[in-house]
Amino acid sequence: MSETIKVDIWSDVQCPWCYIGKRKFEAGVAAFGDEVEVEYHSFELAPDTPVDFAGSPVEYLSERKGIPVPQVLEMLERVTGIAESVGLHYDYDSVHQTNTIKAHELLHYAKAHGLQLEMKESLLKAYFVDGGHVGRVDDLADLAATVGLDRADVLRSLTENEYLAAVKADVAQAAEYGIQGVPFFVIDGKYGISGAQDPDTFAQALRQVQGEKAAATSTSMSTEEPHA
Amino acid sequence: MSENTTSTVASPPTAPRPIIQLLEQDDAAGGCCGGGSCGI
Repeated sequence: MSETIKVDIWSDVQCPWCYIGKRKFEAGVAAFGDEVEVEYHSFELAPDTPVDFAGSPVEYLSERKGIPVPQVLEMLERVTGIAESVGLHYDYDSVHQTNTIKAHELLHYAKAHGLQLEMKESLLKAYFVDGGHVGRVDDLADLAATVGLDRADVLRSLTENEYLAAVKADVAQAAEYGIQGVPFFVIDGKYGISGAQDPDTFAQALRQVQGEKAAATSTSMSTEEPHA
Repeated sequence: MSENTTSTVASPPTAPRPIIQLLEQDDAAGGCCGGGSCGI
């Protein structure tokens, strides 16, 4: 039986390419065919955004990032179309631009309770598809309850900043790796894949790593001294 | 009696920077960097 490959994924809840990349990665894993262990890590695209930002993503990108409105609209139309092609129905008219630090803390909480993957999917869907607010702790606790987490304990954790240090550690690790954009996939702790690549790219990378691990195991076994 | 001297202790080496090898991939694949260059 082959050893499970670990994939660490840096992403942000309000990154449209991260949700698209998640779908493409999942398709790549399906094509690969073997089990893969996935762990999500925090990356903050806009840490200076207030929780209750009074504006749309269009206003955020044009006012805060200085991108002309027509260009923003073109970008969002393009990304919405690509999302649609992987089965995601983005609704930018209902998106609440916000600060995602608490959402990242929640992802760490969920990881500690064995539900990180479910929480990640739920947060992305809430933000891009359902018009949910992923910055306010009450809304996050409601969402957490839908994936099976204890709402009251989530509120406690977020209020106490229980996982804030873990979020900051992820951000620091991303800087160590030289990650400047997300999604970013680190396979087996040594290979990096940046962006929402096609499923084939992920599948090929996983096969490559699997082959290397098998070769290393084979070499290791052949060089072991026989037992007396 | 020998004189105690304080020698300069070299700083411990910093942890090695993790080496992440980028695999062959499409450079045009979408990503978010939070700035204007890649947009979102």
